[in-house]
Amino acid sequence: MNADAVLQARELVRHIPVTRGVLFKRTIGTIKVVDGVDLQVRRGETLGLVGESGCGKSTLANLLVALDKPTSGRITLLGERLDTQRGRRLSRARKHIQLVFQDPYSSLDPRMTVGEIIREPLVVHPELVPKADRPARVRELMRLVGLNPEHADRRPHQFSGGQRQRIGIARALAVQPDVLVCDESVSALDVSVQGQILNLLEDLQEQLGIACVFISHDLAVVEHVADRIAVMYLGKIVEHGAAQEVYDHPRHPYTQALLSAGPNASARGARIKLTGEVPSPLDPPSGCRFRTRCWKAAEVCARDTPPLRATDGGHEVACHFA
Amino acid sequence: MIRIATTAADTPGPATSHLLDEHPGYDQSAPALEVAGLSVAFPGDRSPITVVDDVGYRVGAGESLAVIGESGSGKSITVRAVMGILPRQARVTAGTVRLSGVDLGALDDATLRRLRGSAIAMVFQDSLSALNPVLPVGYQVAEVFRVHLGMSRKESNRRAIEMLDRVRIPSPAHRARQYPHEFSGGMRQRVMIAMALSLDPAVLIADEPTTALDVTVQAQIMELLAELRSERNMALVLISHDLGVVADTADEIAVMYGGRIVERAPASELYREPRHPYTRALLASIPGKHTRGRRLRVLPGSPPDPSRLPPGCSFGPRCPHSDEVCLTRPALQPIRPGRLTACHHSEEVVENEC
Repeated sequence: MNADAVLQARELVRHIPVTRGVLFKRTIGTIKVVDGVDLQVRRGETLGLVGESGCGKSTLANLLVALDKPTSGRITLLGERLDTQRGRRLSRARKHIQLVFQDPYSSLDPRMTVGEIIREPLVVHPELVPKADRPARVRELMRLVGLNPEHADRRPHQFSGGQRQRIGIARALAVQPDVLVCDESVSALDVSVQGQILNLLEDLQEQLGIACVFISHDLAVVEHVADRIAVMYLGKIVEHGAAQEVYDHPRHPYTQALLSAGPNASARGARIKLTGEVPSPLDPPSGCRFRTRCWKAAEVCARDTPPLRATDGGHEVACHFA
Repeated sequence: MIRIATTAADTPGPATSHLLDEHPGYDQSAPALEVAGLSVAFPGDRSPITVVDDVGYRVGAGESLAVIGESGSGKSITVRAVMGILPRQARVTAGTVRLSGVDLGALDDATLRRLRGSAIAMVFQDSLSALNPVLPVGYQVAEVFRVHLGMSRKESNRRAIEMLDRVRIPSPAHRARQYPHEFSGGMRQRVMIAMALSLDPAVLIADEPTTALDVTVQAQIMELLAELRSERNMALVLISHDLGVVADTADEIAVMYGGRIVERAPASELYREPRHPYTRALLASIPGKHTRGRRLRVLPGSPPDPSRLPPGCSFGPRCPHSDEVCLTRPALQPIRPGRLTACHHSEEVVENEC
């Protein structure tokens, strides 16, 4: 394994069985939500994960922070297996990786004060900060994310969306994690506020040397923050490489279509129109999963699943024609 | 989406006249939709809270206008006032809404109900909650024909299938029998568009029609709207918080902030040369390739709370150009044909940029 990889996933698979019946449950199929994903994140780097809804990005995020157990595959955090840990050891491992949620409204308990919310991780991991020092630590965290420490006694509803997202970030940072997983963390915010949070995340990463997995459907946002990028389609990574390289020279037809549909598209040349929508993950197409919407699709695409392999461009693509 | 209990018009087939010509003030040469000096207020603790303040725009047949703004800017309330579907507590305190010259404020409720759907229709953002989950999709589309045109069940079903086909839903006859949960987000949004278009309205309002959708589907829906607009020569009003989404579809863009329109310009000019500091900041805060490795230039603070709007220019507290002059409210003024901006410093804003 790579020495400076803080987080590594190998052949990660998460299948969810679909059952029918109440008394006599029988399995009628499996949804391959995440189907063989490899990724690694190095210290201080940002990995951008893009894909449309239903492609498995959020499930992958949950797997990475051990909120969900993979069906098979391995997750290694700081050189130790994360997916096989249980109980107290799992709890201890979790403080190294934290999640910032999408919705700043539903991810904060409305009955707790902001101070209590940010202090909670320190209560869960009491060994980190002695009890007497915790109020000071909470104030420090609030300053760090640009909140006024005097507002520690207020409750979430007294804050705007952007400020609430800052609270969520402060809570995630309380345990000094090595990896931050941001699952659509700026998607619910107004454009002018979104920029503030992106800048904050970048500053924090620089100051604290945290690695970041940044999940978003918004290509422009990911292009701004990510060092490397992985494009996901129906549970598989179809293209992966240095962000600049992937954005400038996309090789997979899906990436090309995604980029041409984005808001900065006119600058990137002709628009590629995809027909149809993402197929159901319950019954994905055989071979290459993108073939049903792909204009390059041929016979070989229905037969063989293209593996993710390196190209001369220096990044990896899973397409027979790349 | 349209619940109506009045007697239906006798004319079968699409209401080509939009039922407007029978009302006073009808003028074929007037813009399809004209909003003038519209203000809407909600009751507040001490005094009414004005959430839409003196908003005006006009959209001609076959044209499209995009209204851009962040949450609380009043963009959705404006179009709800236009449609006459404001929340109960809200009141229109001033202004007129005219459809082809007909003043909607002068009409009674029953007439308005008949016009809603046939003269002006709306597509909502959240298609899952706008559709009834326990009725087949085709039945819900057909309802418009039954209620407005008094069609039989059989005839209305046939027309519903036609409408589903028109919004490019594959195998419409089969899909019409399915329920909303069996549709993907993009397909549901198509159903909403089919419903809105069934009576061939002169004006279509789309409130954040693509916000909940994926990027590739977003492009499909925007394209469908643009196609239908030119096909039916409709006036299209697009509401969005995202300047990027409407770039290709809109002819004109109106930017709203704190309940007022702060800038109005042809789409191509607005992107090339924004004149209001807020528009500038919005465009600058869009991340992407050009911002890689740089900090985003962002506005401090967040959009103002309509109940606590700052005095004078409501953008003042977040504006890099603001000074004492900005304590008086700037009027929306023409700076050049077709372009309006509400800023005391619109000249300097451009000069300081380079």
